[in-house]
Amino acid sequence: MSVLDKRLVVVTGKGGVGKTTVAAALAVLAVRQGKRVILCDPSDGSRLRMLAAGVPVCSIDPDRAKSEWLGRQLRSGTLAGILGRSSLFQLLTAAAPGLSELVTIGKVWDLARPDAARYDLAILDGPPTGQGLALLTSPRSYANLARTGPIHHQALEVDAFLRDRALTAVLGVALPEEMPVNETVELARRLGDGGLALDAVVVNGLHPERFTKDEARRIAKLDGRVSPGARAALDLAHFEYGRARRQCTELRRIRRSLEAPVSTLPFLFEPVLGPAQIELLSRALERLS
Amino acid sequence: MIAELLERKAVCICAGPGGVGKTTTSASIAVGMAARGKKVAVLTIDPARRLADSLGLPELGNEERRVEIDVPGELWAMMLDPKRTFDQLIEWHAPDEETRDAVLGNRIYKQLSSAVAGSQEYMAMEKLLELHQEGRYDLLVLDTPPTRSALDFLDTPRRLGAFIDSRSLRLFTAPGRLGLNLVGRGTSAAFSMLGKAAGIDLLADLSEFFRSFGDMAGGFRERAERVNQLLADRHTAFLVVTSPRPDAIDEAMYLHHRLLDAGLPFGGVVVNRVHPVEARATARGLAEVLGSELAGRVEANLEDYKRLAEHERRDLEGLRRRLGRRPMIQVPELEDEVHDIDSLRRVEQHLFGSGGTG
Repeated sequence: MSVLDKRLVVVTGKGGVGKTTVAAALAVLAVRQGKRVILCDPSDGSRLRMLAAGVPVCSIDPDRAKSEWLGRQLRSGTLAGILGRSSLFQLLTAAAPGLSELVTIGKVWDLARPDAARYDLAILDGPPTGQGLALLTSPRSYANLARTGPIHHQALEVDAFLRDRALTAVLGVALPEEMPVNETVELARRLGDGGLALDAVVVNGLHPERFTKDEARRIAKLDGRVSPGARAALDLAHFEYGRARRQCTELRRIRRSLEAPVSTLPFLFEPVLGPAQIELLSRALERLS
Repeated sequence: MIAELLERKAVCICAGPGGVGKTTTSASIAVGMAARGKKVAVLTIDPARRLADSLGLPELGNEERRVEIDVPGELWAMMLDPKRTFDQLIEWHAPDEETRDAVLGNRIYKQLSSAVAGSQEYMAMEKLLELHQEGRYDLLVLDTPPTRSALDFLDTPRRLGAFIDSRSLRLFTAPGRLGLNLVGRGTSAAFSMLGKAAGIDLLADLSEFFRSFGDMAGGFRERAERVNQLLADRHTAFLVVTSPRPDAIDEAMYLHHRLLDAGLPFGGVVVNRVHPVEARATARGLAEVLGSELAGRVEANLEDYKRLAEHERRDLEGLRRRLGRRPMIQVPELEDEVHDIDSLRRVEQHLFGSGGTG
């Protein structure tokens, strides 16, 4: 996938569409291509560590990232320490709108920027759509709030990195269902409004098209001529036909509605529990690229 | 099962990880209780317009709207606009017009009310309390907003309460340049550095925000306490909504645990989109009527679904054991996506027992 040629891939999408699975599969694919990859997770990172065996995972705790970042801003560990312990500072940072988002994306930027040169690629297993957008736009909002000083300058630097499409890609994950597709189309629109862009989409959980329309009709017409057990098997076949058809409609719709390239991953009839399934999905992504 | 659970309840809060069908479940519960003669309102948060989707309505404003549906009770729905709700709260609490305008026009407030994580959840709770106090409905169903960790909303009243606590605010409301001069010597040095780093006008904005907000802090804290009381009330029930995916089950277990820990009234679990396969299902004998090639594909499909169903059954068994006597209601994956009243009524039949596995 061409998004792997960037320095940073931000993965976002509706809740429950498989963002973590896709982030892990992308990371495994990039490692196979010989890249030095780091996965970033704004939560504890335990699931990513389990899925993407062998890929380093950086879990970002906003509170810790906040004091680290502040230490660099103030160029003094002691001052940062005093501030970090101050309840007034806690209040201030809780109040300073978007500071959590800013330090989170700032930490990711720190790992991804070319001059750091520790990694070729950082992949952020981002939060759901709305919060993902907030994360991407926070440097600019913050730069507008704090109109002078080093924080302002660094916020601008992070903002420029995120807006440079040679450096940063935004990857939307969706399911081939009505509401996730709507949310992805909405994501593309809102990214565009904010001067950003959706670079690629992965549609996850695509069922195989096992039966044609004629076969589905034949299956439905067999009523009464088969045992109840066979009827149950036929019902499932008909159910699967209907599902694949609805998915196909949604897949066409998302392709029509977006300029970004849309790739698909197959539905797995077993839960994604570990590296074995991630390996399988990373191969599927590889075939598409 | 749900009917008995909610018979004497005034508030039902649906919580769970993202993408498991919380909105659909909330709307179906509301439909089901309205069908049982109750006057029900279902509340959700605006951005994704999901409730309107589920109810087949073009849009819903920040007020409740009656949904046309042929039931003995009444069904109302509202899509909450967190920013407008926050503005209304400021209007109530502000001692005078000058303070109101100062807060509403403040840059920090504008960000806080629209963009800051947590304020949406808090506003959902606020609206819930407001509607509850007005007492116009038998039952309020709240669809909690999607958050990365499904638990954020539990902490919100406490966090916001601490945030607007008047003791901290006093530091800002003290007279003097930026109002920061009451702080200890080391801290104030650090703050002057921070002022330079952050851009001085940010601190000025903050200081002004807290100064105007200070007068209202008492009112806000009192509301936050009432929200907490309502959440813990015995006429409130929390339903955890989940799906049979392992990560969603893990989150449901954790949420259940946290609710019990916090002393909040846990009602039960709803598992959406389960794929049950009848034990007797078999492809035997189909080759004669369909030909061996097509029958083979029917069989492969059956085997795939059996495998899926077996994984789900095992994973859900763990959840059921955790729950003890509390109900775990399973809703099968439906043929169609749920986006109109008819499909909500089909979900409702599973939720309320006729056709469910409750």
